[in-house]
Amino acid sequence: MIEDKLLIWKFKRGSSDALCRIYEKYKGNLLRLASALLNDTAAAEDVVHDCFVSFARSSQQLKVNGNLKGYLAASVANRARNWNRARQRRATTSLNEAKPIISSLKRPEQWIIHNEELSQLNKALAQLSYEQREAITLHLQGGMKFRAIAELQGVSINTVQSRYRYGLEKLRSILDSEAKL
Amino acid sequence: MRPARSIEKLIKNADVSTDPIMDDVVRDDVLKAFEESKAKKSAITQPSMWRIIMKSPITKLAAAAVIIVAIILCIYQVDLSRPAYGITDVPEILQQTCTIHIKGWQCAHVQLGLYDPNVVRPGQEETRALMEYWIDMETGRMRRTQPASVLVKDDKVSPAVFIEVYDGEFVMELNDGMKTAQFTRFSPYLQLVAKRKNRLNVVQAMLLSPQSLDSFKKTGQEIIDGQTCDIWEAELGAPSWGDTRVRFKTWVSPKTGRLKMVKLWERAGDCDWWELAELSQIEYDVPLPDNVFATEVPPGYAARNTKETADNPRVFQNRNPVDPRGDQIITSYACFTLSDGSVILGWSCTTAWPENKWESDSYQEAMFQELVPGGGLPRLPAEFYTVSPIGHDPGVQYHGRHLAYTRKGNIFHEWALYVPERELDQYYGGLSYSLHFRCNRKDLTRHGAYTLGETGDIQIKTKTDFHLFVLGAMAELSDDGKAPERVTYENVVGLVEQIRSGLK
Repeated sequence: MIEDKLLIWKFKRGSSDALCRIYEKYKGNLLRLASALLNDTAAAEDVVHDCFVSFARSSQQLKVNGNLKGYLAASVANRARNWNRARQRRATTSLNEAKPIISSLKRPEQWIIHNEELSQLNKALAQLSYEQREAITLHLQGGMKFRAIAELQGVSINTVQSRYRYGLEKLRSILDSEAKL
Repeated sequence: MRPARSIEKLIKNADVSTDPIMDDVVRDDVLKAFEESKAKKSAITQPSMWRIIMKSPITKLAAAAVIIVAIILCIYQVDLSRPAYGITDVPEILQQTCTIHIKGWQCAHVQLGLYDPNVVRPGQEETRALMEYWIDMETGRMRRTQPASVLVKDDKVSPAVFIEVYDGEFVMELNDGMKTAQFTRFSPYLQLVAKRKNRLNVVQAMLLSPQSLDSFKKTGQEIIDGQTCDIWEAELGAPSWGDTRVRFKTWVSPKTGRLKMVKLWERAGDCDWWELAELSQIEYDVPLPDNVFATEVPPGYAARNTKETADNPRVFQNRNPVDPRGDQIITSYACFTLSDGSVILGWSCTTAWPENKWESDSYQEAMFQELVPGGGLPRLPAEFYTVSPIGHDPGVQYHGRHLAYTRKGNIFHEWALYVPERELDQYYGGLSYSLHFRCNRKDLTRHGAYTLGETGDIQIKTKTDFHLFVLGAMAELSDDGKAPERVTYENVVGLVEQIRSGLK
C-alpha cells in the first residue's frame, strides 16, 4: 500500500521507472481479471494493453482515491464491460455468428501463455451472470472492497454481497460437478 | 462439496504467465504513451494559479468579476453551443465507435476521352449510384457498395456498382457490370491487417482524407436531424489530380465530434462544378443487419471461384509490367510508414515465364546474399529506387536502401527501406505512395512510377506495430514463416538514423 502511494507520487512526477514497476506489479493480476471477465484471451490482452496505455497517458490528471490495484481493476472492469456490450450487440444482430470473432483470429504473438487450470476456472466463471462474475473477480482478483464494487456497478452494497455469495455458491456447484465427472 | 473458502482461494491464487517478448512489447507501448503525454504541456501548474487567486480577497473578487463578464459575453456574443469538437477531431472520435453505417450516392468515375462527351459527361445524373458502407470497427468486417465505372449501351448511361464484403476471413467481390462474384481468403496476418486498416480507413470511407482535414474552414451552422452542426468546407487539388479540384462540405456536430453529412463537388479546369457525391446518412453504433457481412453469392451472379478454391493472396501483391510486352513484372507487396517518415516496402522483380534466368535460384540467391543492410538495392532487371507520397508533398527525397530479403518458393522478395532526407513530423502515408521504378537492363532504359495498391500503407507507430505488421509481412513472404532474425525495431530505427546521417 505504501509502496503504491510512493509509486503513484513518482509516476505523477514523470518517473518511467515507477510506471514500469506498476506495470510489472499488476500486469498479471489485470490479465487474470480481464480473462475471467471476458473469457477471451485476445480480448483480455487488448483490454489490459489499452488500460495500461490510458493509465500512462493520464499521469498528470490521475487521482487515485482508494488503492492502486482497485483503481486499475475498476478500469479493466469498465473496459471489459464495454467490450462485452459491443460483443452482445454483435451477437444479437447476427445470430449465425455465435463464436467471438476476435478470439478466432490467430495472432502472430500471444501475451498470455495458455494455462489449462486458468482456462478451466474461466470457463466455470463464464457460466455465472456477468454481475456475479464481476463481483467475485473484482473482490478476489482485483482486491476491491464491496463498497467500491457497489459504486462501480451502481447498486447497493447488499446487492453486491448477494451477487458475490450466490455467484460463489453457483461456482462451487459447477466446479464440484466437473470434479465428479 | 468443497468449502466456499477453498473456491475463494482458488480464484485468488489463480496464476497467469505471460510471454516475455510480448511483455517487452507492451511495456514499450506503455512507456511511449507516457513519454508522449509528458511531452504535452503540463496541466499541473493550473491549480496552483487558482490557489494564488483564492488566497487574497481582492483577487477573488477580481476573478469573480472576470468570470461574470465572460459569461455575459458568452451569452450575448457567442453561441453557447460553441464547438467543443472540430473536424480534425473526427478521426479520433470515429475510433471510439463500434459500428458505422454510411449511405448516400456517388458518381461513377468517367474516364475523360474514353466516351463520347455528348453521351457521357462527368457528374451527370445517370452516373450516380448507391454508395454504402457497413463497418464493424472491432473486427474489421466490412461491406461496401460503390460505383465503379460507367456502362454505356445504346447511348444509355448507367453506373456499374462494385460490392465488396469482408466477413473476417473471406472477401467476396461482386462485379455488377459483369455479374460475377470472386472470393479471396485472408490469412491470419491479413485478417489482422484488415482489422486495423478497416478501422482506420473509415475516414476515407467518408470520402475524406485525414491529412487534408487541416485545410477545412468553418463556414457556418445548420441543424440536421435536430442537432446543431458546424459546416466545415475546403477546396482541394493535388498534383496527381491534374487540373481537377474537389470541393468538400461537411457537417460536424460540435457536441459529439461526429460527422453528420458530407457533400462533394468536382470541377476540371474552367468547367462548372458538378455534384460528385453526397453521404446524407451517417449512423454510429447502429445494430448490424442480419447477414450484412454474409459472403454468399447472390442470385444472378456467377461465381468465378468458391471459398474452397479461393486464392490466399500474397500480402497486398500488386503486379506491374516493366516493359511494354509485359515480359517482366515488378511487384509491390506490403508497405509501412515509420514514425520518422521512412518507408519499408516489399517488392520483387520476376519474369512472366518461369524458365527465365531471373527466377533461377542460384542467380538471384547469389545477388541477394551479397547485399548489406543500408547498402544499395538489388540490381534486378527493374527496381523501385524511390517512393513519393501522393497528395501531399513533404518536399524531400526518399533514398532507397536494402534492409533484408525473404524467399518464398522461387521468388526473392526485397524489403527495401526508403529514408527521407530529413525526419518528417507529419504522417505522409495514408493517401498511398508513388513507387518509382527504373530498368537496369542494357536493352531497356525505361523508368516510370506505379501507385501502391488500393490497400495503401500501414502506419507503424510502436514496437508492437512493427512486430505484428512488418515482421508479420516478412514472415508471410518467407518459406520458413519467419522474418529475418536481425530485423528488429531497434535495428531498423538505428539503420534509418545511420542512413540519414550519411546523406548529410
